Amino acid sequence: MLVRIRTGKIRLIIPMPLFLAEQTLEAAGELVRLAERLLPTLFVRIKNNPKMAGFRHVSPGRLIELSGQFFEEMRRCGRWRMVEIEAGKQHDLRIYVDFY
Amino acid sequence: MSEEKKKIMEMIQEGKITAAEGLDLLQALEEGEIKTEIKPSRFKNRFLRIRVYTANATKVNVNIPLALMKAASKFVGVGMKAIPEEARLEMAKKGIDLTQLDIEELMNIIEQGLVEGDKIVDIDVNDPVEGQVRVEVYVD
Repeated sequence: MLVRIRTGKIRLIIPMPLFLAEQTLEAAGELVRLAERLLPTLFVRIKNNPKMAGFRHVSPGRLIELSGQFFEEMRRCGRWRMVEIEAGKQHDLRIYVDFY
Repeated sequence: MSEEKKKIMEMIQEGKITAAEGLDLLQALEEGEIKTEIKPSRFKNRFLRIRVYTANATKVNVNIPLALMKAASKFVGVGMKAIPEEARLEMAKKGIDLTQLDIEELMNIIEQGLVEGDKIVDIDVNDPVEGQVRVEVYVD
């Protein structure tokens, strides 16, 4: 994945290998699942936190696992441009998100 | 020969169903197989496209592969639950209930080609800040 940002003279290209993100999420998911078993009280406290109310019904491990699956699906889509934003009178600000 | 077809043939041999009924079952099975074969390719190289144009020259294009949308539809339940309560109440006041949004049904409609060539959303408004704003959502 390439995130390209152009604002006037500044050009920024941020490459992000999706397989790395996917593998990182996969590994993190396994670690979190292990932590859920080893430290259940900690996760109960996290779930009971009002800021985490929206995620009360899903375990953090499952959430990370789902994110990993999403990246996997993204990789299968091949080459495409997901986002293209051009703003400003002469399109001074341009943001592109491309997948390869 | 698939297991299902063998089973149907056995049922005819054993006299559990008539030959005509067996033929109907085989036809239904074949139609089902064709449908499942077509399904994945129907989403290949097809995108849900969101276009936003404003009078002050801002242009936003978002392209989402339908295959990705299909995969994302299983995350919708989690996403809906993650919407903060106050935001949900605020939307409810405006008559918006996102829990009623059936992404799977929407995907089925797209898959059947019922929205082919048509714009799902086509809004043209005059915004006091942005000027004329045009929003289009379509599948191609």
